[in-house]
Amino acid sequence: MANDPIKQFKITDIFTIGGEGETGGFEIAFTNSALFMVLTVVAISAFLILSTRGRGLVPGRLQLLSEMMYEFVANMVRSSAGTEGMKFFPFVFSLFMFVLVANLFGMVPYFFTVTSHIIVTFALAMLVISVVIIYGFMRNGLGFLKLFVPAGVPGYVLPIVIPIEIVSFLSRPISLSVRLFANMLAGHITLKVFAGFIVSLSSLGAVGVLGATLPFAMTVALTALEFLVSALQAYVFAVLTSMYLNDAIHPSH
Amino acid sequence: MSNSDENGAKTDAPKGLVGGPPTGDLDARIRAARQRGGYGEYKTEPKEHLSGHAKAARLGTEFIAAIIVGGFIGYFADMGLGTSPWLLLVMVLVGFVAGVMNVVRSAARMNAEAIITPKMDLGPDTHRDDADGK
Repeated sequence: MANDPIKQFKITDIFTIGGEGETGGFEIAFTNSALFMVLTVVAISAFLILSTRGRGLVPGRLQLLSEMMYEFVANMVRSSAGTEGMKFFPFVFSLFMFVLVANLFGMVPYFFTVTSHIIVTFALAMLVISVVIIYGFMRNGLGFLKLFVPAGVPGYVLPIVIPIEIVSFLSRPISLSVRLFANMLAGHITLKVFAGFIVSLSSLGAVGVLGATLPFAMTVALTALEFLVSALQAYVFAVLTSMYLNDAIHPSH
Repeated sequence: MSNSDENGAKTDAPKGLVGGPPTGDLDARIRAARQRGGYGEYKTEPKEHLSGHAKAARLGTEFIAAIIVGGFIGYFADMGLGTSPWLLLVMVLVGFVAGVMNVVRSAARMNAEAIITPKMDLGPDTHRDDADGK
């Protein structure tokens, strides 16, 4: 089938390193996913470096764009995690830009969507939650465990409340990764299925071509929606990251 | 991806503070613009933290994720302790409770951050006096 909606997510090796006898027998593959991650990082770096190279007091268009990106994320971190959270600004900004550009790259035809694989989004979410846990213990010591003990709860309910709070905390990386992955995966499949309808319908002759205008209109609308979702999911990911970092800084509810 | 296109058009314009006349009177111009007013309001204008779509995207997965985590913990604890299926059942329930709590907590935070404007339709049977903006 030419328009298999799942085929776009297939991982293929571009080249491999090692294998027999080398690198301890492990084969390290450079896949199309890795290629697009590299492209994403290169695009972000190139954009930010080139657009701020002028350092004009009155910014040009591109410089203004990167300054807006900076201020957008800076305001987000400051309002969710406070001024103290600003030490995590580079972290949140990198995550936001990576997810945003990877999502937008996925909208280009024939490009691979890095964030449509749960292992990628889960790795990002684990990175976030590891930072929260490590910094939380570093800053607050054992006081970080107050996160699991809501204030004003009588002692005899604590055996019930603490497991619930722990499960609630552990669900954060899952919900963070599943949200991004599911949105990208579902969106791209929907887009591909509706676009496939156009081909199948228009092969039925004149009536089919007429009917194919309906899924065509749908595909156009869905493309716009997907651009919205791409930006929105990057935003949600970054907002929740800064909210979780806020918990690491102020662990009491 | 280069700055030359927009900078090329105004290469004669001085950059930064080294320049002479074009930015020399910047202080006076800023002061005049401030006096004309209208700039302070931009900062104080309240803004919703998350759009409606972003809020919706959050709640669903937060609920499901807690159940999945609870189920996983229960399943592997059962495998380790040989108490199948009791811990799985208990932990799925705990996960369910945690999921509800996640949603309630996020919704409460969204409500607290919500900005209610006079023009907003709050639905039937809501009295304006109740809506204190929180």
